[in-house]
Amino acid sequence: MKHDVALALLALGCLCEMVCVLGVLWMRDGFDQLHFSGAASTVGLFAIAGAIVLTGFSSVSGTIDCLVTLALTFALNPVMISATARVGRRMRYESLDPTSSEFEQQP
Amino acid sequence: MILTDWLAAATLLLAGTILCGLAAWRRRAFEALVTLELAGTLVTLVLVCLTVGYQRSAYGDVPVAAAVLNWVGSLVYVRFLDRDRSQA
Repeated sequence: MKHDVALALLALGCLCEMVCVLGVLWMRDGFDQLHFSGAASTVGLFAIAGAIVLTGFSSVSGTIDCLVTLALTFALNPVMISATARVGRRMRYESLDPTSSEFEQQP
Repeated sequence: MILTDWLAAATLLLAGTILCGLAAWRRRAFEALVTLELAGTLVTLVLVCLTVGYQRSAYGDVPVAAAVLNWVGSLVYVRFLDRDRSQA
């Protein structure tokens, strides 16, 4: 039972990651791709973390190492995505400020 | 003990990493950087899957280092891209 749940979580995690890969490959605009790239460190990561906890190691330190890795990825990836988005916006619009057309589209 | 499910997962994720590499090869700088960031996340997960698959806790240090270095490396690329933009 425990093995089956771990296998299901691992499959879910891999599926989420592959959806992100396909999204990045499918989208043409860099900002659309950023959404998929950022999502790769959310649901799939937690599913794989659950599978690791259920599978476990012969020693606790291995489990802790893997969970620390996933926690680091979850914590640091949004910073990287945000920095990339800021550079992308500056490359496209020369500024981080909203454009006049974006002001007009505000409700 | 080798857990084949985890090795299969690592292979699948590695295939995704290769696809990201091929896509980054053909794209412009900004889009390539986004693809590279996703590839870095996938490589970290591949290393985690290999660690669990081979049941060697000593391998666990490698994905920790990969996660941090991927973050630092991507930020360096972001900085270079920003500097390149401002100099152009």
